[in-house]
Amino acid sequence: MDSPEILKNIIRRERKARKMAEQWLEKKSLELYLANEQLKGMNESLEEKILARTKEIEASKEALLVEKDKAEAATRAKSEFLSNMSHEIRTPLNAIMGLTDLILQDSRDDVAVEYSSSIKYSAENLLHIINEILDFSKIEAGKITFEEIDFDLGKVCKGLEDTFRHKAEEKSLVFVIEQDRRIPQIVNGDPVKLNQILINLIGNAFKFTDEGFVRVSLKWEKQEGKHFDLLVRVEDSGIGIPKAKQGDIFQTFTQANNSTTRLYGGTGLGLAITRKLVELQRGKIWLESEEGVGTSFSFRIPMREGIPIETKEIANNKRKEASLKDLKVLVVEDIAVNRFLMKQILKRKQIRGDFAVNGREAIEILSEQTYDLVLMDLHMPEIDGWKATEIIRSQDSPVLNHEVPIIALTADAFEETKSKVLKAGMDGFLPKPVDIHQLYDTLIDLFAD
Amino acid sequence: MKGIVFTEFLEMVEDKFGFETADNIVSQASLPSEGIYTAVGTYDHMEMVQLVSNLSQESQMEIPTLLQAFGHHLFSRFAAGYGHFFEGVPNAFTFLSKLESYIHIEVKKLYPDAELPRFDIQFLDDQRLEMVYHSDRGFADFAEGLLNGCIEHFDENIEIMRTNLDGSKKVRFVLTQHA
Repeated sequence: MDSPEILKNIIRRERKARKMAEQWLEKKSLELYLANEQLKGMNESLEEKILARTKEIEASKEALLVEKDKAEAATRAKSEFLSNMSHEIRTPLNAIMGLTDLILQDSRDDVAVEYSSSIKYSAENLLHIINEILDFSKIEAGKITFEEIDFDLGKVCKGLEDTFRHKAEEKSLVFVIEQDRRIPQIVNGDPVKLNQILINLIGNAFKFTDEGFVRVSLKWEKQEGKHFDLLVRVEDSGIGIPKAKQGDIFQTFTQANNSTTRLYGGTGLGLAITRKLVELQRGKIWLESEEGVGTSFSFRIPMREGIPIETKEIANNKRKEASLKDLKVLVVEDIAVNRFLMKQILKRKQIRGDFAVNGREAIEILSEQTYDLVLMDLHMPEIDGWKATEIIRSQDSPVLNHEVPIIALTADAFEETKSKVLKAGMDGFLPKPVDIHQLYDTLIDLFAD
Repeated sequence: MKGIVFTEFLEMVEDKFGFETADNIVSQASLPSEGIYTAVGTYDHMEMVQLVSNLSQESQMEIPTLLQAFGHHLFSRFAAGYGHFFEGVPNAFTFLSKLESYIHIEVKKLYPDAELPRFDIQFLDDQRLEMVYHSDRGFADFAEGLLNGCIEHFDENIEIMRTNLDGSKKVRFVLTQHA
């Protein structure tokens, strides 16, 4: 056995080691404790800072909300201004375009016809520009809505062919629309917006192409179930877009070249609108172009198969035009030149037209005589079209026939107006400038049977 | 009870009474810790009661005497091991008056589970400090030993007068400073 002295030495060393360990441990725990305290303090000050920052953020959020309200009010005011301006411009355009149409139909003087054609072309251009500006302001104000209705895509293509055939002949361009046979005849989507997109792109193609072709191809790409992607490519052999400009060609007010505006005209809004119309339908638009070779714009929008409907062939309108003869129509319109225009339009179809200069006069006339139809302007002094309709439809008014069909005629270009008109108890809606053929068609539809 | 009280106690027994006595008092007791202590641990104060009572039997010395002697010894060990408590402290009264307001608080920081006795401390006048000890442990003798150790550490002429108010659970000490 080891001597007690040795064991004592060993114990002493062990004990010393233990004490050193304990001291070390205490030192470390104190350090840990202090570090913890510091962290706690930092945490608290952080929390205080966060609280202060949160307050700041809340305050700036409120300030931002105020700014946002201001900006929104400004946008609303702008959009209201634009829609008012549009209304103000459309009203005289109605007379210009309508009367020009009448000259074109009546005149046997070649010079007059030639001048009138130019006037018509310019007026149409002006209308197009107004429409673009209005569309753009609607998109900007987030006021645009998309329909989901069944429609015949073939008819849209046919309409485009009709619209651009003349232009193609004029410029001696080959114009074709090719349609993938797999595309169902009836599709579900927004036909008006699709048409607008196509007219914009095809219109551009014609504008910038002087020889060669404009080719439109529609392709079908299967998606889940009844869904598919409509892939459209509008290709031309025109002047092309320089590489450097291709990136921002879809931006507002951008054209490939400042001289483009001088040379080819346009608002620079067309492609910005087109892009928005595609993107708001969850689609995508892109372009490929080579200067001097041509440009192709392509877009893809999701669509759905529609339900094929029994297409009852609409009877030949010409046959039924006879039914318009001797129709008795009251035109309510405050602007003299528009009354004059309407008088000429009605006279042509031997329709009997009487005139009232505002809603009040219309009610007086309707209380003495009965009519087959009322063509009602909406914006008028004294009693406007809305109020007049309300009075006509009211059983308490002295009007003889409360059920007389009323068609609104207005330079308001908003889609909401259309549904508002129907809700107000009117039977139809025609936008100004009045398209003579559209007016006749509406009347024929109303009185065909 | 803090482990350092146990480790210092056993070391004192080894020093003063020998290894055999130390081994005996541990072996004779039935201790949950088996007599294995570390300064940074915490143990049931009943173990100390057993150890002291065993030592009393072994050494034929009264328990209060043993506790007083141990307290006295332990204070010197504290002074050696925890020098920072003594920095800038000129005398016993200053040190003792900081007991509740500083030292116990510092101990609690490191050992949140430490159950320390409570002292109500007040100066009766410039020369007299009253300290009333409260503890269910009834270790007033041990406390008295510590006080003596403190007085010796500062090498002052201070007299302690003790009055038991509730056995050894509540005891009043009046320390009187003599020139």
